[in-house]
Amino acid sequence: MNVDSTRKKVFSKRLVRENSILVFLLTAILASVVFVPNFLSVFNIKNFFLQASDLLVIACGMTFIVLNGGIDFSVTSILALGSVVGAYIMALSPLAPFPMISIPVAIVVMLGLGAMVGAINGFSITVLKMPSFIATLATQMVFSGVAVLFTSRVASRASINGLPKAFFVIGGEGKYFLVPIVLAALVFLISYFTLQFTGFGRNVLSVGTNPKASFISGINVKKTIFMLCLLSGLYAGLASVIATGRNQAGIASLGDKMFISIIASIVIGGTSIGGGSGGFKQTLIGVFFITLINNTMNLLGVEWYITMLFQGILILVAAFADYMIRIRLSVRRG
Amino acid sequence: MKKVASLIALVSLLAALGSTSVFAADAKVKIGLSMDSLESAFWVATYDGAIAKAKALGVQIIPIMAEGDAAKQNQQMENLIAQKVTAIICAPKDGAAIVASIKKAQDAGIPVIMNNRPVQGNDVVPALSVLSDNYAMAKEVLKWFAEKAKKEGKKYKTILLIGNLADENAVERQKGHKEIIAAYKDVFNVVAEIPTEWNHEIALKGLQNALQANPDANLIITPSDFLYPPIRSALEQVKRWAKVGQKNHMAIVSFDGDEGGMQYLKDGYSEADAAQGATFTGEYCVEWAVKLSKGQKPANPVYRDPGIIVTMDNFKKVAPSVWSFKSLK
Repeated sequence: MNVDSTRKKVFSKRLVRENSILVFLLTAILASVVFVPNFLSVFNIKNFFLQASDLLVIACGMTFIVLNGGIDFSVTSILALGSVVGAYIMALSPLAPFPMISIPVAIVVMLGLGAMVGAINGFSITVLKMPSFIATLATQMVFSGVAVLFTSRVASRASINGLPKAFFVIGGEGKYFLVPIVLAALVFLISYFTLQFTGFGRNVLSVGTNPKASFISGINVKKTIFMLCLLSGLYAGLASVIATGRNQAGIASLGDKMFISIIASIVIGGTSIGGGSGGFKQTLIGVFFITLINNTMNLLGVEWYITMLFQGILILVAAFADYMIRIRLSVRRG
Repeated sequence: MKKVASLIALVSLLAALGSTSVFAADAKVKIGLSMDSLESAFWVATYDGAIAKAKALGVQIIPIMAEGDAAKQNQQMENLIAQKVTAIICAPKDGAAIVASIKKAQDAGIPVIMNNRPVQGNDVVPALSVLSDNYAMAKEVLKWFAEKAKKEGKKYKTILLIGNLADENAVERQKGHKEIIAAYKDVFNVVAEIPTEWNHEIALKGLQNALQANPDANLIITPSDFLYPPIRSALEQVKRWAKVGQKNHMAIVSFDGDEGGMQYLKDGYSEADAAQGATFTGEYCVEWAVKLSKGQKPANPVYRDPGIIVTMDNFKKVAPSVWSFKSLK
């Protein structure tokens, strides 16, 4: 039995798979250009990248966690909580009449809330030794509830509007459409380089592949996992800033139904749900794929449940493919 | 496998060419219909009315559902704008969050008609808002009940259900109910107030707790017939699902006039229902979407449907004019 040659085979299969997904994405884009009316209009292209921007940011944060073999359900609650607290600061708090102060304060608080939830998750997983599934599901439930309660108390409604117009720049309103796109691109590049070229990035992959071996090798596994949770929360906080700017309101249900798109982007792109392989390039491809499906299906007037059906099928197939590869690898190793 | 998945996506994109909405004679008019969901019979009736009217007028209509996701609805509205529709009918999940995409539609020269749920705030004024007079209807139906209770010398320990506060309709109905409750303090004693978020599970848990804490409660005020399933379930559990006149009867005052609510009223399980014109508003929105597409403007940007107050006393006379009547058994 030659573990090395098996690993090489699996690696080359993943390489082929990743590139084939890119080929399919490009083919799908070409098909959309040719067959989908209005796909290539300036308005739709702007829309496409704007719609992909907050998904990319939050998916990058989740990618760190998935590479480590974990999951983070709390990201959607961070979207909601950040949105309503930030909106409150900008529209209803004593700082509201001073947008030059309220906007930066709101942004810092939204990022801080994301980091706080991430830190709670990190603590639960590394110190209390809860599985990430349980820890982040618990924080998701708590902070989703807090978001709704907070909004109903401060606004007697489930959303807060009246945000300062200057804040909408972050959401890409009008001529500022490049702002969220550039922000998302920066987040992607920073994440990509961190994973590829830093010691922390190598630790992430190592811990994701084999936590025990990583520990024996001297990697501080707990610190790595804690930092990942913190990053995931922070990224979700940034996504909340962008999404709140785009929707121009603090929404207590923001991101409610977004989790499936986040996971779909990561899994379809080619990152292994078991951890240890994949990366941000794959997430970028996955985000574009999911955004393309939603965009073109809407443009074609396809029934909404068919779009959901296809997303679900794609996730199932991609996750099954990943499972088969991991099974083959472990059988040959054993 | 990934290749298969990608292939499925690719083929679906191409196959989806055939799976589109109604193509029709008047190719110049293309209406986008953006709705929250089809969770309740009321919305299904609105949707059916809109689709039927579009077919009758020979215009294309593109329906899209947000499935309860306000941010997704904004994205879907943007996609409708990209499709260069000539008008958009919108029943928003969240009246505040939808403002951003209405602005984009108006900037693109596309008139927007609000169906049933208004936009919140003053940042944007839709071309037309077709609304039920929720506040007036909620007041009227509860006032009828209060006057009847006064005549009969009855007092009611009341459980008040509240809808989703992102929905302006729920806010208006709550306002109307609470005004009458305050005006008839000798009739109503509110023992529990349950925010339901228009969610059956939340409503059921809230009702179970309220009935546990207040076993002698004898009136439920609900802002929508949509909440009847958890109401019935909770009452059956405590053996209080009984008709008017029976010992354990729980009085119910409702809103919407959908098939379920009207059937319970007909069968004697409830006292009154404020019926909205679901099918009519769907049809009216499409009529005006066509007119706005051709450059006409309404004299008044807000149309308020006064609705029909149906009670156990006037049922035979008034119920046949409600949209759901023909479906009753």
